[in-house]
Amino acid sequence: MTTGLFVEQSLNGLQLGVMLFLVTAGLTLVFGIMDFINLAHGSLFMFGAFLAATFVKITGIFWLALILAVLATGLIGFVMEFLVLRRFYHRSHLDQVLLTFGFILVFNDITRIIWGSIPLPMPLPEILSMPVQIMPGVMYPSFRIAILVLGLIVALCLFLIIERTRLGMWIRAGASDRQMTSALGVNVGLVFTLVFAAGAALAALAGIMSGPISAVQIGMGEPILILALVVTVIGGIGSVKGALIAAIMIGMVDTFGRVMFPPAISSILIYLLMVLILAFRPRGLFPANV
Amino acid sequence: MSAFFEIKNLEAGYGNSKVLFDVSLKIAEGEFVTLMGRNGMGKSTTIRSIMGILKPTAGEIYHDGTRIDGLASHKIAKRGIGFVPEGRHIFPNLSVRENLLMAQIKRGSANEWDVDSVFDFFPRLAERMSNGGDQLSGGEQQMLAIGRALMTNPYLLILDEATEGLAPIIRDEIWDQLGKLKAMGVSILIVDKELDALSELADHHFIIEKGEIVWQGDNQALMSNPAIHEKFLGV
Repeated sequence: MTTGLFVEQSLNGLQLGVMLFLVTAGLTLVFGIMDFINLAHGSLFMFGAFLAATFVKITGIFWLALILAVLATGLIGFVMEFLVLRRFYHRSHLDQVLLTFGFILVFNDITRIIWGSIPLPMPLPEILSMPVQIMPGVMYPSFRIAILVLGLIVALCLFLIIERTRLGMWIRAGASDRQMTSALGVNVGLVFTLVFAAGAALAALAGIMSGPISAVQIGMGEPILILALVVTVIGGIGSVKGALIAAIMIGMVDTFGRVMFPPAISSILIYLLMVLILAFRPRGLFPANV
Repeated sequence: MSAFFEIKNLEAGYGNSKVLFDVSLKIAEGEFVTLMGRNGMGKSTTIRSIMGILKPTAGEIYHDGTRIDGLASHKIAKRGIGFVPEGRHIFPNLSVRENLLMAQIKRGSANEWDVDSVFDFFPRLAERMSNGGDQLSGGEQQMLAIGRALMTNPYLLILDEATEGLAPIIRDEIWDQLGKLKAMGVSILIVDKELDALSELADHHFIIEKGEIVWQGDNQALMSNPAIHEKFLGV
């Protein structure tokens, strides 16, 4: 492997990792705090991308479209949690899985009704359409660099909120012991609604980030959901720090696996990694509940 | 003294299994009150009902004249009822300092508890301030659980099995600190089995048997009646 290829693939791996982290952050907290499995998280990823593609078409300004789509998806997450999901916190995981699987079907059909079945293009601003030279002889798409930087900034902000603020302490405490957190005066239900809406917004951001790379199409959220669940389990349910580290690991292993191994092996590498980690740390790298 | 906290004919249970049949008790402001009884008699269920963790099926709970049964747990804590649960329930993924900070409720009065005053109260916690909650000894965890409840600046502090499983020297330290809290005027409701230590601190005792308050009286009445110890406390 040449140095150029190594650098290029490292950036790709980091970018996939950051995107996975954005998707997983909401999923792992929702799972950790409320013990709620949300399969429809991938749908919010997809919906965000569709909304952004539409807003770009309407406004013609990519960054404005991105902000509008992220906010709109956050609002959809808020409404979803407020109207439906909160009634299922005390139900079994099977009920939750069935409910949120139903949401996947509903989201897919709504998408089909509004946008049709043909994938949408996600037009990029001109400045991000040109490749840039990252080292002698190695060109890299500027869009990928931009979303990597944006993703890292958002991931860093999220990390600081979770690790350094009082809200972050409540979220981490809630993920560890919901009942005790509540008995100390924290309105865990409200915190959870905020977490859910923020998680939906982050999933949308990740969807928008992957839009120009993999096309905006129905069903684009399902493969990412599976990866996000792997990241959740490896990182430790409810742990944002674990999600960040696991997401970067998965991003790197998946990206380099595709370059270095035949498809039959590269497609199972991340699952092998999961098996290996769970064999030694059955509750993941940084479980919120000990 | 008039009651600022009162439970009237409380009934509660888990599913079809009823645990509390008739629990009534009163606590006056600044009073140190115990709830005693053998294992499985309903002590923790009473505490869980007070804290809103378990919804009572009948009866009433009043704090400062306002009915609080049926309120969400966080609203009860906000009203000024501090909780130190059985098993401590320290957040393992938060540092000692964060375990305290997350619980802080400011009530706008002078001499409120904050992280520094809790560290002054339990200097051992100050030495461990950056350690994770899962890196503490049992005694340190208990101090942190009490400190965390103090951070809510409670008018009534409820402790469930405050000294269970702790080394005698740590237990003595905890009792000393609870004595200081009493001297500061904090009302305390405590579930514990250490009759000797309780008798030095408590103003009033309630004994629960099979989900009912079967005896209550002051310290002198309890200590001068060994038959009660044997009958209800298994001492």
